[in-house]
Amino acid sequence: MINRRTWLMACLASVIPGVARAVEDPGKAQLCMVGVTVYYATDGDPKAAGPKALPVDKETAARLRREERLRFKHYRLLGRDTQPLLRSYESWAEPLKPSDELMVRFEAQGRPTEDGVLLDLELWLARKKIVKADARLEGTRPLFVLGPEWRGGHLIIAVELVPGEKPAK
Amino acid sequence: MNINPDEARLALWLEDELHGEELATFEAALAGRAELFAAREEVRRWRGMMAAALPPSVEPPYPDFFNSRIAKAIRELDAAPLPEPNAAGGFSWRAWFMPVAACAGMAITFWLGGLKSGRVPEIDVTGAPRAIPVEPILYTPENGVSAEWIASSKAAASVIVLSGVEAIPDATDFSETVYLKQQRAIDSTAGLNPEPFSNE
Repeated sequence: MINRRTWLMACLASVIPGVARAVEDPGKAQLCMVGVTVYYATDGDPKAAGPKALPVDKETAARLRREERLRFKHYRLLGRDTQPLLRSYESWAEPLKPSDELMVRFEAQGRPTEDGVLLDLELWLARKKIVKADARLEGTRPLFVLGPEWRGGHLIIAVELVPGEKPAK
Repeated sequence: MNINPDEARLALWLEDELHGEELATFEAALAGRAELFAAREEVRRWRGMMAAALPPSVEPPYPDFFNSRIAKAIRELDAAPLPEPNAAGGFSWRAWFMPVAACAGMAITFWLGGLKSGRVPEIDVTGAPRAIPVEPILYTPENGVSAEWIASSKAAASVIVLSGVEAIPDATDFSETVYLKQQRAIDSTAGLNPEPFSNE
């Protein structure tokens, strides 16, 4: 049986010869860099994060403590990934690589301005989409996500623009 | 004789791909089905128009983009329920016309895209009026999970607080992250400036 989808695919195959030969795609233009950082926050023993977890700088810890919902006694840095924000394609950050337990997908909803950029943002945990948001990132205004519990504490995911960092070619 | 012809041969016939005895037999079977002959004429007319308007082959300007969107459309098509077949068992020429028209539209788009590539300056929307910032819409597809958005002026940040998220098993170990390995190798990177005992 030839249905509509088969017809469509056949038409595409006949109209698009040599698909593999690409011309330069402006959709892959890198608009800016987005950093995703994962912190471990706990009121208990921070050593639960493991001996390799790094302390958090004073400024970041103070900033987190200023928001009541993010206020914990101890913070540790678990991982970080920086990925380019592409013009027409989605990007995936894997801050805990090689683990894929936590991933962040983002895609531009418009061009960045001097004030920031609007993103279509998703947080994935254990390969399941947990939350989707249209987040606005500004140069000095990150997005913090108070995430799942882990080892007596919580994971906090920070998404922010990375100023001054040129997209990797 | 008035039959419901099988669609595979009908497709070949519409594309003028039937020949000789098979063609004669098939057309004899279609006697009295004027709408099918009209549909074939329509397909021929489209084919002629496209052949006159388009080069023999067209390179898509940005294959990855189109491939990703096509793959997404196919995924959505797979998820959607198939439409019920024509209850009367008859043939609607629109079922053939729509894919052909869609194909023609895409081909013309590729062609125009190729012509315009690199010649038309992009529109700079930097100075365009901006939408009034509103509270973002949060969507939590998992059952039992909810999210609350907070504009934290004290932390100078936006905050999303998740509730009902399943805890990550304690056995999960994140100590082998690539980033932390890099940290150990170079001791420190710009922007982190760790102060190990500043917050305890």
